[in-house]
Amino acid sequence: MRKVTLSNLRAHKRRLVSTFAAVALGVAFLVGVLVQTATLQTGFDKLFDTESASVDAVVRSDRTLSDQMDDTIRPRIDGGLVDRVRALPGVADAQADVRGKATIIGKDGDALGGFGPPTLAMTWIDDPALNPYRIASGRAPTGPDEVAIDATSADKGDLALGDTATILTPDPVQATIVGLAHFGDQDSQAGVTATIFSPSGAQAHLAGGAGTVDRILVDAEPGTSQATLVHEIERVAPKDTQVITGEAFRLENRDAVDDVMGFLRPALLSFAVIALLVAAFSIYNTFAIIVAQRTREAAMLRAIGATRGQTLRAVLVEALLVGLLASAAGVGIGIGVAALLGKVLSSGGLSVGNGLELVPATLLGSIALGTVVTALCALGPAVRASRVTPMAALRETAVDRTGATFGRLALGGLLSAAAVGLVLHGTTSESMASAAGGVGAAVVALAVLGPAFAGPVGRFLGFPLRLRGVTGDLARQNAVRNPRRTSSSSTALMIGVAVVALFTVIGASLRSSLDHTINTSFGGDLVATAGTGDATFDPSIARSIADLPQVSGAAGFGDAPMRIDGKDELVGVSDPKQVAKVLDLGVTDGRIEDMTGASLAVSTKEAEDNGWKVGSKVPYQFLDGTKGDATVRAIFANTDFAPDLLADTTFTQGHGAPVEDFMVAVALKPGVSLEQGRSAVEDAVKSVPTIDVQDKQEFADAIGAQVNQILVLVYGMLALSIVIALIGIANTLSLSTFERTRELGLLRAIGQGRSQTRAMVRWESVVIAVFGTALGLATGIVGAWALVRSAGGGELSQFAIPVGQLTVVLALGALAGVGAALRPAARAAKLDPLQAIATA
Amino acid sequence: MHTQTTAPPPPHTSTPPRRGGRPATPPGVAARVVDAVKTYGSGPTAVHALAGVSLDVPAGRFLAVMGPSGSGKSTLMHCLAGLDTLTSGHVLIGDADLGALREKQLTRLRRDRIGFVFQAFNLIPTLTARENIELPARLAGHRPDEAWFRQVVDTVGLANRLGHRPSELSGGQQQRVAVARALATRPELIFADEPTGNLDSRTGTEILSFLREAVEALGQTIVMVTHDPVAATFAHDAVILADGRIVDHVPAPTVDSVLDRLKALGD
Ligand SMILES: Nc1ncnc2c1ncn2[C@@H]1O[C@H](COP(=O)(O)OP(=O)(O)O)[C@@H](O)[C@H]1O
Ligand SMILES: [Mg+2]
Repeated sequence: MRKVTLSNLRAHKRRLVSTFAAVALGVAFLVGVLVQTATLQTGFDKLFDTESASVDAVVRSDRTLSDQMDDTIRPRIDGGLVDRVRALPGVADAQADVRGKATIIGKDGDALGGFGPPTLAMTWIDDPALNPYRIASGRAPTGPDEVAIDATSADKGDLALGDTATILTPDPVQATIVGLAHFGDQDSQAGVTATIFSPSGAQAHLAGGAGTVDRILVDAEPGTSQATLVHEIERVAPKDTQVITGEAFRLENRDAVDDVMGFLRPALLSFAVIALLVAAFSIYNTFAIIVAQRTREAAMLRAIGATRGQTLRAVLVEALLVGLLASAAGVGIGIGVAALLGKVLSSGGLSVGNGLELVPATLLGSIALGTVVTALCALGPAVRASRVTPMAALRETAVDRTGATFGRLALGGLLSAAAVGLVLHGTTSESMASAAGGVGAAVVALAVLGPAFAGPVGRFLGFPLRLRGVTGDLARQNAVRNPRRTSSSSTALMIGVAVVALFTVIGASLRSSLDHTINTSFGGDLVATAGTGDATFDPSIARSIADLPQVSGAAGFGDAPMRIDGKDELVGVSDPKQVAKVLDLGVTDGRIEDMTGASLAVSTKEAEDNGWKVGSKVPYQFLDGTKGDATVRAIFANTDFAPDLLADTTFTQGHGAPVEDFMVAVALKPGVSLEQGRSAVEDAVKSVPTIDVQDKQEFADAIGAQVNQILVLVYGMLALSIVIALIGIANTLSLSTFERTRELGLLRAIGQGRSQTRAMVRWESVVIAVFGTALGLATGIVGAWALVRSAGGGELSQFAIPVGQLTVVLALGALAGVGAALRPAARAAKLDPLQAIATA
Repeated sequence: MHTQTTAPPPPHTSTPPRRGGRPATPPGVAARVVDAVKTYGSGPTAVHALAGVSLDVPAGRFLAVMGPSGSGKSTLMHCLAGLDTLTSGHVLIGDADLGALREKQLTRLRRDRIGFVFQAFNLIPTLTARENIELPARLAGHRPDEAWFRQVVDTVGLANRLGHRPSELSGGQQQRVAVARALATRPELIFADEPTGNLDSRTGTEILSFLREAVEALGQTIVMVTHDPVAATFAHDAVILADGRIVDHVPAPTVDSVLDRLKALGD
């Protein structure tokens, strides 16, 4: 039997090529993701270890609040502590570290970085044990207006030693670049844009001259353990401070890395899983067809005495061998994919500069997974092969027209019911998890039920082919003659297209929701935004805009971390006198304008959840420890633009955390044209060159452009799955045409021209591809609808179907069908009619 | 494009034009084979499937090609029908020298001027009987001639089977559909390769009667390859092939005369 298996492998080399490709590509994607994320992980870990390699203790405030990213933020502590710590026994050195945000403006006037890795301001420390940065050229900053910047940023911003650059902290600072710094042996710290001030500069520009510092970094004398050191420092540390060992500090930083990877890894992995799933369908289909074609052979083997087990094993061993070889190849390709992913990520600013992390367990595990998946996909067909009776060798094998068995219909019905139930539950009770589960069930149901409707739907989709005469007719008949095969080869494509459609529709819905929000809730005319990523600007900007004669109202928006009623919240801050002029908050009770001092406006939802009414007292606490009771002054229904909690900017300022605006909404006076208003506002914000002044439409477009960027990334990630699906379709066609050799020969003998034969195979392919694409589109659209409806408004209040984009997807699907048919059609057309007849 | 929407002129009155100085078949001859040689392989292992065959296929008659297995019957038919090319020699159908035609022209010739009936697997399984019969015309982009279609279908007795697919038809019915298809375009020539080889003798007789009927009533020209002496009796003439050569010619063959001639080969 082993001989038979091996000779089968050789004989069906070409048929197995696509299985091989599907397995290899699926595994390659998986390996690429695993290797690249492992590489990033170790890279980050190394970087953060470098950052604090020789730090033995850290002194900082023990008061914390969580910000929106669930990062812990702390207030600064008194800088006077530094000298006292340095004087302690066992301390070799102690230095103050003042940190903040800083945006560097490049030579062309554009801000550097801001998307992805953060833009950080920090303090130069001479002691190399406490400072991971090294001066690569120039010197360390000493004067208050001198800075060193990381070499990568200097390169990107076309900035050189001696240049004066604008640094936004967020107040603009004109600083001279006196040094270019490396992070350890890297040009930058994983793409972090670093501005390093001198200690005096950091005090002036980051700490506002208050003499406070973010933390004190301590280096121990040789022979002093970290624990002893911490113990020693704790004796002089004041009440509100915390002392931790350098080791604990490093572990904290590693946790932060895990948070980043905790998002990135599953996101990338889910695309790899989709690719593997699509590959699985292709593999299954190939084996199903191969087995069908070998029915006679299997029956003959059975007739001459092979047992069922032997027949089963013959197919499985073949699958295992192909799976093993292909997975091994996939690992090889995957290492290339990892390198490629690394390039993509580093072009997005995420780079760690270490070599690929090739963990043997990962690579071997991937080979094992690919092999097992292949074998599992072949199991069904193998069992079918083993069930062949010796009698089948003697019978004419009829075309397999089976659509759906009862079991299939029953399972599909159950799954459909579950899908509908989950989706309905999700949309009515606003549970996205339930809706997503329903969509998943629907995809499986479609895959299971596919053979039942591949016939009628394929015939319907192929209807236009009637216009192409008998060739089109034959193509249409061929596409549906084996519904099970048509359905499983198009299911692979369906999955890929469904995800594409899902994201496309959700993207369009986001955009439409945004437009809707801007048109219904936004009463202003212009928006000034900080431009890049997490950049912010001082609230005084909003006030100076509001003072313009052309402007009737201007409200800045920012946020402040606070503890409200015992919970850490990021409270939206603005100027209550201005908010109502630019936003329709749908106030149901009280007045926003009544907010003065310790007061809050809350959304109806928040009010209901907490039982708050206008006049309720709500306990609050700031980062610096200040606490009290805030009075609820207004309750509003519309949270399109505003967060659930809103406070007066002036109430929250000066309490440990910087309070800055990321946006100013501006309403113009009647009679002022958009252009006049825009130029006046642009004048008023000239001091901060990164601020963009946009009208409503531009504002929506800018956010829409970000959504589109994400969509492009998603499409890129799905491309491989689509390619795998198309290889699957091409393979199905090849195998089918091979199966129909005699029929093709007959057609050619009685006068079908080569181009007609080609067209026939091509149109068959198009029907299969359009079938898969159409199902995918339908699934994606319905799935997106379910998710949008279950999102419960907010950023996804509107459901929109981008007809144009989806039509393009459908057209591409049809075109892909043409592409998939290229080789099989050429082969079919080349067929010698005599040869086909001679096989009679 | 060469199309043929009307019946060809009766074979005896047609005078095919000469073109480019090449020979054309004389009146009354539907196809002519001149010194046909077909060699497979080369050197000492070469097989001469046709070792110099010359033959005129008379128009409007039913010709049987007989001979033992391996004598070159199928090869001769394939070369006559433009499915295969000769190593040397000529095949002329009307004014067309097949050796000078390109693939596209050969395909068109088969489609428009030749009909086929094979031993088995004659029909496209996805098409109904009617669609199979109309297939050559529709491949050419013609609307089938309804009156002629009726006449053909009635002749072969398929009127109430037209909506069935091949898998729903018996072997004999399938062959009748194949014969109807071959007749449907009113080709100059119909080739049949062992058309009754897979049928029981009664059904076979039926098919052979249809073929003879097509020649007598409709004026068709048919070349049939067979090794069955009974089948040959339905033909007007029989030629006998052995080792790639025509060794005998039997006019108005009977079972006895054919068997005699075939037996003579063994001596
Ligand atoms: N494609 C081929 N390659 C090599 N030899 C062939 C081929 N086709 C036919 N032959 C040989 O040519 C001879 C005539 O074959 P064929 O015309 O099929 O005979 P018949 O139809 O009379 O049985 C036989 O010896 C056969 O083996
Ligand atoms: Mg033969």
